[in-house]
This record gives sequence, structure tokens and C-alpha cells, in this order.
Amino acid sequence: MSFFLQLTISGLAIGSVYALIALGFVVVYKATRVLNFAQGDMMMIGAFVTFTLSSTHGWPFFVALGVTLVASFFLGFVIERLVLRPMLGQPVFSIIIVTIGLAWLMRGIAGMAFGHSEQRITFPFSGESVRLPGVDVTLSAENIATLTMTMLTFLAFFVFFQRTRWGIAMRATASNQDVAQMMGINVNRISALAWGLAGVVGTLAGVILGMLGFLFIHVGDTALRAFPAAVLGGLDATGGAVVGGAILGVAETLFGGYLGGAYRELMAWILLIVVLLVRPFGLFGSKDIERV
Amino acid sequence: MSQTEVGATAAPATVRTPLLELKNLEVTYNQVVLAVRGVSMEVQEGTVCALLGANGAGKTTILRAISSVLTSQDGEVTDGTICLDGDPITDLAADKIVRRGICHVPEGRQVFRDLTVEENLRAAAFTLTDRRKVESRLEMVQEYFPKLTTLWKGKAGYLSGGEQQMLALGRGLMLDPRLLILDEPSLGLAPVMVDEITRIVTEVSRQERVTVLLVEQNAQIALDLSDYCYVLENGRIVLDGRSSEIAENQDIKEFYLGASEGSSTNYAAIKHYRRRKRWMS
Ligand SMILES: Nc1ncnc2c1ncn2[C@@H]1O[C@H](COP(=O)(O)OP(=O)(O)OP(=O)(O)O)[C@@H](O)[C@H]1O
Ligand SMILES: [Mg+2]
Repeated sequence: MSFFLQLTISGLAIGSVYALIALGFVVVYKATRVLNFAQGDMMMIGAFVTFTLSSTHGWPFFVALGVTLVASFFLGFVIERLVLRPMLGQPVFSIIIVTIGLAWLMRGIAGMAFGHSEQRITFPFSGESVRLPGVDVTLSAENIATLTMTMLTFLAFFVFFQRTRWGIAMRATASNQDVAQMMGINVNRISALAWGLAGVVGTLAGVILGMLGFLFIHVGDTALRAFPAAVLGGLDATGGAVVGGAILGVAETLFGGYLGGAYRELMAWILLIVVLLVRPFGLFGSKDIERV
Repeated sequence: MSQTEVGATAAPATVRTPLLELKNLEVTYNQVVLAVRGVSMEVQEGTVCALLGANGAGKTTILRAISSVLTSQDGEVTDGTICLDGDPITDLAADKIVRRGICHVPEGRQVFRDLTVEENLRAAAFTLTDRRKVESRLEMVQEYFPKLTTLWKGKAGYLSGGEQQMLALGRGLMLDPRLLILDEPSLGLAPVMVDEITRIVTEVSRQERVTVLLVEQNAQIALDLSDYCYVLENGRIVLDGRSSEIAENQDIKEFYLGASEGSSTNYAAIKHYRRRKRWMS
């Protein structure tokens, strides 16, 4: 029982990472209908910047993280402005290819700037842990931080999408870009904002991975493993990202824990295929009901 | 552009600059399809102006040109100018046009389906940064459309056609526009609903002092509601005048009013109309 719970906890932790990455996919997809294959490498850059600021330059962890979050918002913003905006009106296929190019470009630059060795971001409370009374389960400081950060992020996104002027405008744009424009919503700004937010959640995901000891220039490939989480939840559903991430993380860890590592990765794809067969638009995604 | 116009047009002889003026507007889709071929129109402040025409005449295209949302359709203004208060606005971006006080209610009741009624209205108030004003406009819309209040938190995609049209109109009112552009508000609605919408449009134009540019295929509605009317055919204005006079025009009576009573598009009748027009001119 406690083995099961322990696995579930680490599953949720890794699931948080998937959820955050999925959220990045979802935000950009919702606002622009583009699958952003650079999501993983935006995440990697964010993690390396936090690492450099905190470990190399000795900044306090949370200061480094805060600064990186702001910077990654602007990185997303700039990418949209310089790379995506000029592609406006091109076929979605070409735009997706451009995001793949962008991913490799960032990876190359990161290789030159941060080196090719594996790093770990030290979390200030690292080593400490909490034993849950009753059940024989330990929560590490990293686990607690991960779950808290993820929950706060999703809460913030929820409030943003439901309550704020920009959030509602973004959903309106996702629903019908043409009419959103007629209502005076500047859809270019919306897509820049979406990319900025994708940068922010990317950094959070990357920093969490870094705390767990996964920081190297190819860590962006993890985003591809999180991709099933986004599809699972529904590519246009914010809430779906968190559920998809959690399911994927837990299922993966449980399968890995009981059946051995080889099954771990398989699980994600089996789940993805099964869900897509049953619900092609994901668990929470909406069928495209828009009129042409 | 300060030189005085030589009175060559048949428009009413006012010295006032019209609120909206189209001069020789030409719109092309995909670089080849000429959808609007040199249209000139004037909409005077405080009036209801109707633009009448059959399917594919180019009505929606003209409206899209005015509110600058042609790019997503691969269309562009290839000639002519659009002026608001005498200022050219042809090249302004869509959001700037909205900020200038032009609000376009698109055809086919395109509400934001995944958003609630309230969120639809709030999204439409995007350019309003004054929160108090947003709240007071929300209240005003609820007064005009009490039905929407009962559906406030429901998803707009689940509303009936008539309710969606009310929501679309309500969205148009959120910004307190100077010019309200309505693209076929009666389309696909039952007669009772059409009457309701008609009543509200009249009320809004009087009470809120909004100038209205109304596009219709239903000549009866268009002529009842408007002060001045343009008839568009194949991307060209073929007739214009005071609505009361046009309503008396024999051709219009026969071929638009007649056609609108039965099936909404009586193709044969329209073809006949065109043939006769050619023969007469
Ligand atoms: N995106 C487009 N690409 C190419 N041609 C188009 C496009 N949109 C409209 N057209 C063409 O332009 C012409 C005018 O279309 P428009 O939609 O303005 O007509 P309308 O008067 O609004 O018709 P309806 O009453 O059916 O709405 C039509 O011949 C149509 O086929
Ligand atoms: Mg039309």
C-alpha cells in the first residue's frame, strides 16, 4: 500500500511537469491553433537561466526563478513577434515546421551558452522531507514545492481565463478569431500574450525538472512525452491539461514501478491511442463546432 | 481632401459631412475575384441606412471592408476610400476601427460559442478600460434584452437562434458605438423574432442615438426600418434613394418585396429583374 502511495506521489510530481508543459501547448494552441514544438526548448532555456542565476551567480533561488519567469515571458513575446507574426496567414503546417526549427535553434544556442553536461538546480529546502502520519509515505521538499507551484499556476490561469479582460479576450479569440477582431480585440497581441504565457509555464516545468535532477540541453524532448497529456486532456482545454498530466504521470510511474522501467514510456502512448480512439478530441476538449 | 465636392451625386443635398462615406470602393478576393466594383455610399449621422441586395451581391464584403476584417478572407480593398467624419480610415486595423466607434455585428449570429452570455458581452467590451462603464453597459444590454439575463451564465453555443441574435446585437451595443453595422439580423428567424429584433433596432437607434447601417435581403424589413436605402447588385449600386420612395418603386415592389414573401431567394425573379433592367437602360 505504501509503495503504491509513494509511487502515486512521485507520479503526481512528474505529472505536474507534464501538466505545466501541456498547459503551454494548450495556451498557444487555443489562441493561435498552432502546435508549438518549441515548447520543450523554451522550457530548457528557462531552466538553464534559473540554474545559471542561482547556482553560478549565487542568487537566491526564488529571486532567480522570479527573474527568469519575467524574462521567459518576454522571450515568448519576442519569439512570437519575430518568428511567428511574419508567418501570419501561412498554412498551419509551415508554421509548425517553423516551431520545430526554432526548437533546434534554441537547443544549439543553449549548447554553446550552457554546455552539454547534466546539471541539477538546488532547491533551498532540498533534503528535508515530511512523513505523512498514518501511512508510510514521505514527501520530499521538492515534491511539495512541485505540487504547490503547479496548483498555484493552474489557479492563476483559471482566474486569468475566467475573470480578467485579457483572459476572456483570449478565450473569445480561441472561439472565433474573426469575430474577436470585429469586437476590437487585437488578435496579434493575444497571440503574443499566449506565447509569453507559454514561456512562463515552460520555465516552471523546466525548473521543476531541474530540481529533480534533469537538466541538460536535450531535456526539451520531455515535452514530447508530455504531448500525450495535452492531447489526453483536450488540446483546447486548460483544465484538461492538469488532469491529462496527472493521469499520465501517475499511470507512467505505477506501470514503471510494478512492471519495470521498460513499460514506463510505453504507457504514455498506449493511453494516448486508447483515448484518441474513444474521444478523438480528448477528455475535455471541444469538438470543433465552429461554422466554416 | 478639403476641396468641395461638385454636386454630381444623387445623394440628398446636405452640406454636412456624412458620418460614413465610401468613395468608389473596390474589393478583390484572392487577387482575382472582384466582389465590390466601385461602390459609393453615404451614411448620415443619426439615420438608419439600409443596404439591400440578393445573395452574393457583395453586402458582407462591403461591411468587412469598413471594419477592416478582410485579410482573414484573403480579400483586400484594391481601390477607393472609406471615410469616417471625412477622415480616411481605409487602412486602419480592425481594433482601431472599433475604437473609432464602429461596431460590426456579423452575419449568421456568430457568438463565441464556448463563452457564457456574460463573457460574450464582456469580450465585446474589450476596448473599454473603464470598469464602471462596462458594468453600466451590461445593465443597459440587459434592459434591452431581458431574456439574456435569464441565460446569463449559460454557454452561448446552446442558445436558440433568436437568443443568439439578441446576444450578437447586445454585443454590438457594449461599446456605445457611433455606427452600428448589422449584417442580416433577420436571417433565419421566425416572424415573431424578426419583429422583436426590428423593434429593438428602432428603439436603439432612437434612444441611444446610434447611426445604423443595416444589411438585409428582406426588403420589407430594410425599407421599414431605414431612412435611406441603397440597392446592390453584382457588387454595384444600382439604385438608391429615400426608403419611403424606394418602397413605392414598382421594380422593387415586384422583385424584392415579392420575392421576400415566398422563399427568400427567388432566383428566377431576380434574373428577370436584371434582364428587364438591362433592357430598360
Ligand atoms: N473569402 C472569399 N473568397 C473568395 N470569394 C469570396 C469570399 N467571400 C465572398 N466571396 C465572393 O464575393 C461575392 C460577395 O460575397 P458577399 O459575402 O459579400 O455577399 P453577400 O451580399 O453578403 O451575400 P449573402 O446575402 O449571401 O450574405 C460572392 O460572389 C462571393 O462568392
Ligand atoms: Mg452576407
